[in-house]
Amino acid sequence: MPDGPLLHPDEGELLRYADGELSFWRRLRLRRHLAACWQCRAALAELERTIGECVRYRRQVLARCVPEPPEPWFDLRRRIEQWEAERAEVSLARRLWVRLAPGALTPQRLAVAVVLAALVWAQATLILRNREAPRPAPVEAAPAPAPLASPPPRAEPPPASPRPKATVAGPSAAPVEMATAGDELRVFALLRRLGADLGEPVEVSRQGGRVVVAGTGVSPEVERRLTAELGTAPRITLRFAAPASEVPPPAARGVVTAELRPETARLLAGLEQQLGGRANAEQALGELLEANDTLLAHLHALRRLAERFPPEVEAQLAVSERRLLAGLLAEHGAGAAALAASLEARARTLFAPGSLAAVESFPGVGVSWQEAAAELLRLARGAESRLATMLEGAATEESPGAPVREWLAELARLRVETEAFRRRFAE
Amino acid sequence: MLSDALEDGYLHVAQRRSESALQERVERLFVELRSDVYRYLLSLGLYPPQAQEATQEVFLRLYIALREGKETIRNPKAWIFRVAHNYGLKVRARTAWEQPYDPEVAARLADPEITPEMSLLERERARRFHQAVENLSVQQRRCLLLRLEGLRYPEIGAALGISASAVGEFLRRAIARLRSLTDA
Repeated sequence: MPDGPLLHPDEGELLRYADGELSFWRRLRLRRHLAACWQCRAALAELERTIGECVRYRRQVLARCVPEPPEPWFDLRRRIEQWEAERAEVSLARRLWVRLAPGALTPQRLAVAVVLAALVWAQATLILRNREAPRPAPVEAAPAPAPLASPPPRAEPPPASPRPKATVAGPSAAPVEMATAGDELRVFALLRRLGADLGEPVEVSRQGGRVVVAGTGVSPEVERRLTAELGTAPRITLRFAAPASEVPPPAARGVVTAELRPETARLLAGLEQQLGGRANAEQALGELLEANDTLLAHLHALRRLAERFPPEVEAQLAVSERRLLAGLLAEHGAGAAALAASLEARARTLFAPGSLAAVESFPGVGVSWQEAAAELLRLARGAESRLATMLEGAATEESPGAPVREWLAELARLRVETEAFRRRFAE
Repeated sequence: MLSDALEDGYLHVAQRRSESALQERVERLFVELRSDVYRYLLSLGLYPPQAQEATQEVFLRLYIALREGKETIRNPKAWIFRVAHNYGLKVRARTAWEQPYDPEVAARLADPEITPEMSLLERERARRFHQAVENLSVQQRRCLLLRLEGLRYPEIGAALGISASAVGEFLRRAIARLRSLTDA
């Protein structure tokens, strides 16, 4: 799935995750992704191994193979006391100046000032002579930057991760018949039956007269069943890339320590108070993301069907195939509607307890189910970015609750639209 | 009058206590971090006497900054490395006619008296890793060394005068280059 929740993070993002530099929202998302993705866990483990080498290098090489300081370290306390004494002298001189300055300088005052200045100068000279090192310059207010000629380009392509050799199953003889949209539809139906169209990285396409079912890091059970069902089917090619051989355990919770923005911290503090602790709050947010991801997976599956079976292709399907397609729409439509309703209810319980769900009706979905599916996915993505905004702490001081309200409004709209889709196309 | 004098006395005692606590705090930091700062300054090309003097200067400046309260220092360690970096570069600039100092780490690494517990194989591995670190670009190496000292991306960025995202990119490239070595 090219643009769903399964997008693999690049190496820079993995490093920022390992370094605790990701925002709260990205951290939650990535942690969930890592729990599911062997490939990325293996990549993270490789990063951690290199970081471990760096730490060892610091301990074994840097700490021991550079020369020791040539002299014993100075007595910092003594230096500080000298500075304090000097500061006291300067302060005295300033107080005297304040006393003398306001009125007109009479000859008597001038004489006193000269004598005092001479005394202060003599004392300061004495202190300066006693000092072993020059007086420190005032502390720099800002560091002198070492400017870059140009910022490093961010568009550098990520390094190619080692891709295992693809295994190809299926008949090797040239196809005698071209694969049809119906063949492709039957593959989608099979994926639905196996539950492999919600989150599994399986791509279906038609290439060179065959339906190609491809995936990298597909779970072994799904791969086994797909091979059993489709391995000998005509006009079908299976391409699976084996996952990385070394799979580390999922990243432990609490490894990352990114500081929360104040708004996010406030939001979490409210949740913690409501649910009785940080762990419960994070678990509740995790469940919310889980529901959100599953909803998005249904909507992605719908959108994928819409892309593969536009009206002109749909019109060429046989009656039985149309029935099959309608069955898929019904399953995804019902799943999406139920999840949208549950997501909104859960969100209201967590973030706006006691509030009532919006009851207003929205305009009906698009004219065709294909357009409606695309619109639903757009809405769900909008709601997800709103949630991200909320957890990124983009609320303003003037209206700290605005992102929450906007998110709940988007969820309400999503609920209404998915329900409308279900009634119109999925019953 | 008497109450004013008493109040002055209390204030004086409180001030002395606060000064003393501050001195203790800075002294603790000095003991804890001076070797790390010294090594970092050597990596900028300062000679050992320069690096040691600069290290001491940095901690004195820290005390002065905290005492005068003219700037908020949330993370003293990050502040120390930022000031050390800038001060170190100034020292280097003043003595630019000199070659930057080379601590000859590779030669020391090969010396069994300095690293008696390391096997030949470990020494060779460490030497190759050191060579790879030396081959990083200046910014990559500085980001890496400061990250090794425990600074976060924004703190490294503040020290080097670059953005936190640029720090992330330099570190990514550095780690990618070093990883090719560890994979080998």
